[in-house]
Amino acid sequence: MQRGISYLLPEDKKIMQEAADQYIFSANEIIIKQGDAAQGIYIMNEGTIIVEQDGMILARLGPGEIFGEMSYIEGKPVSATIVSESESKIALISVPKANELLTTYPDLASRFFKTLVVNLSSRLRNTSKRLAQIRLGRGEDAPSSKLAKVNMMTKNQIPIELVNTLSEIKLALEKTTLKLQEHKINIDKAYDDVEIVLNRAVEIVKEYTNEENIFEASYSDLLAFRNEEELEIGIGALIFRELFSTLTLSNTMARLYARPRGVPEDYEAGNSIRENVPTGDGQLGGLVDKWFLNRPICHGRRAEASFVKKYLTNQKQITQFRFNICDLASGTASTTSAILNQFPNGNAICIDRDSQSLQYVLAEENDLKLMDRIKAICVDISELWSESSEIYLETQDIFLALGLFEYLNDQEVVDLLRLCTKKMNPGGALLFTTILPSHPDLILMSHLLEWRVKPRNHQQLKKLFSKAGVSIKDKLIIIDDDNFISYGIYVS
Amino acid sequence: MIPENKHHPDIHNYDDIPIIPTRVIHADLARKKFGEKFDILAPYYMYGDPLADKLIHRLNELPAGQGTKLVSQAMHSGLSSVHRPPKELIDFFEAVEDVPLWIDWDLFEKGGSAVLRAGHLAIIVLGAYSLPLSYASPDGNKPLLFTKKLIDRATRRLVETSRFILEICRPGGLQQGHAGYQITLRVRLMHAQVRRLLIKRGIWRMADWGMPISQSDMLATNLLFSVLMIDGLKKLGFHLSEEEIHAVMQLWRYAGLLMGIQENLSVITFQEGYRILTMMKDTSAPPNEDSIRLVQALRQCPNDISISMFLPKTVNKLINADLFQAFLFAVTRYLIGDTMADQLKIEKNHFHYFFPPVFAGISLVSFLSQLNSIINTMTVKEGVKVWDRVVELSKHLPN
Repeated sequence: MQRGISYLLPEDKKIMQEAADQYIFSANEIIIKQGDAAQGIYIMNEGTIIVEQDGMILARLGPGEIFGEMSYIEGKPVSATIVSESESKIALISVPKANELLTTYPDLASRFFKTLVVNLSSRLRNTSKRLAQIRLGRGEDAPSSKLAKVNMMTKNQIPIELVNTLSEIKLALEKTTLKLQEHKINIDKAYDDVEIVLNRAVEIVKEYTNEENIFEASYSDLLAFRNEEELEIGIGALIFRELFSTLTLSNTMARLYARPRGVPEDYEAGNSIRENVPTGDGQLGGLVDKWFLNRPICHGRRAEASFVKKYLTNQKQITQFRFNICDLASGTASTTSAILNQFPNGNAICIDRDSQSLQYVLAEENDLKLMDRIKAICVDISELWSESSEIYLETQDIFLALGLFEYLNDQEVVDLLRLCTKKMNPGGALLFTTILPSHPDLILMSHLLEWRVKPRNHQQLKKLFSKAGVSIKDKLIIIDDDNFISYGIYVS
Repeated sequence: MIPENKHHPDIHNYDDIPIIPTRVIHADLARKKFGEKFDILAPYYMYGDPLADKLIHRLNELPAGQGTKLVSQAMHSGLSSVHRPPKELIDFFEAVEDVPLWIDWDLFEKGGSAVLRAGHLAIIVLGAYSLPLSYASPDGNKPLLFTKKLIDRATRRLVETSRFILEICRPGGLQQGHAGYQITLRVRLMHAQVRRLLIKRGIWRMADWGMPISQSDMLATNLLFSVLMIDGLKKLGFHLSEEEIHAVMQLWRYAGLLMGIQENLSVITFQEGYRILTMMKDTSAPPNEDSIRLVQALRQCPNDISISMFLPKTVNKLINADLFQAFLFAVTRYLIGDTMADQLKIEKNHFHYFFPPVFAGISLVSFLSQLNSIINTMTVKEGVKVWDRVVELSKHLPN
């Protein structure tokens, strides 16, 4: 219950402790099983406990926190299993004693219930906010956050040159398919053809959505009353509709576009990029997939693990002892797996809101015998800094935020930076990557895959660190690479 | 200081914007020659059309396609037919639908008929006098230069301008919901949209060029269709009565109001209009390369326009596009004068030797046709047919 505001006074806690029976639970011991009735109100004195379902952590509580209070009040069985994560000392106020306590000490009862109500209210407000976003179709949680993209431009605003170029592109792809079917060209030549044509497609999106051409389109029908953003979307949508059937032959792009888990980079898409084995449908599917997997965005994602490994290899003072990694919005957790494989002293917490992704991660780690070193917490990372957070996070040596900042707005990045710096051990580090505004695939991502991100340059990143109240002098290094990705290291 | 009610919704800082742009030159000479008129008019180079500008700003915020529907509905069936109109639409159409007391539809019809009956001649005046003079002002033509399409589409511009004049001049053309009324409001909103696009793009130099398509520019354009049309027709020998001249001026005065020209800038008489045009010309820079480019683009018109649709069959057999274009340039030189023609690089040719007898013939025929009402009605009908044929050409031109 202490996750959030507490109105309980030290003397209240003392009275509660006196009324409680003390228990010691060993690591991994079940405290309450899902469906069992709670025995009363539990107070954590030492250690940590986790609330889990299907091996995944939904909440994580540390010393001083109270749990079981809801079940006590409602008189209903608990909805998830509670397990002692490490050896834990827990005080239990049994139901009869709790009843007696709250009757005997009305002031304590009042503060107890006020704390309960305020925290419940805060959690309800957060839930309502997220639900409202979903209902309004906003945010990544929304069941369908794709735009209809129709009616964005009038027929007079469609550049005829663009229509002709698109016809040429489609014709070229058809010809390549036919030649492949008739064995007139080999697969390498076909790939060369596909690469030229699809690169041209990306170029025309870039060309026709640039400021000058959008201005020309605006001028072409002055009474269309379409603003520049609408015209840009309209041009992108026109190209997207013409190329959709080709692009979605690619396994990776089809998955990124369809986003069955509500986010573009879910486990399957992330894995496809990581494994880099082109697959797809029909004659061209594999070739289109290969073309996409060769794009800078995919190279950048694959390079993330080596960036982290390289950093840790040089950090002997961290890796020679037991060290903790917190992988934020971990996705496939491929980098974390690679680190744990290389550094036997490492332990990791993977935090992601996609339960399927985490289940796959856990299954993979089981196969790799890493299960006892990795924990999966299924929450949106914004829960970590919310007032009513149910995630107790101990201090960490390494925070990983790989490809995460581009999905967060400025305030969320600031909140995340505050959390990381607060929970970072001395000598620890936050390692992050983020897409640069000059990234050549941004056009492809936003217009052809509906994969919208917020790129940032060094100056923008530094501004966010400064807004988070974090001193960056001699502590922050940001380096760009050929894939238009910024690699950042912030050392505490 | 630019008064706040004249501010454009996309300009957020007026601190560095002067009262008169640098495009206005020879101010002292103009003051001497035109007196207080100069100081009254010059600041209007900085003003746009606040009602239209605010409406456009709002329409661009609406979901795609909704703005077009709202405007079409209001233009076609009036403001009262629009369900829950935005405030900016109410303000705009309330002003537009507020008909002034001086309106005289019969007089407008007389003015319109005078222009329509001039048929071929009026279109020649438009293409060879009004448009070249409008391009001559280097700063007035700036909005045309920011898009490739407008420079290269001289013929379409000529044809669309012809349609604009035709619909305004038709009987009742400017009455609410009629074609002339709708086309005038559309042009007004197009101007507002151009203003918005140029300002938002950040490439427009307000301090030098003034407001894009300013009040003064709109007034100049309006006078091209009234004063220069009358002047051009008269110079070609076409006979217009004093009543017709007055009627043409009043018709365009109202068209100007609908176009967004403020009432205090309304021009009532031909002489007054001519004087204002002269003042604008005297205070403008001479034609530059852009002016030449725009005027020279008019050369393509005779090639684009199928001459058979424009000229009588007998003449058509004797003439080709190059010859016709040379003839038009000779007319232009005659109308705008040698100095301006040289500045616009309009070459000399020998057509002008034929002008005196031709213009004398025009004068006689147009004078006689006015004496008989039946002949006059027939002339108007024939004139409208010519305008219609030119407007029809738009179907055959590329977008």
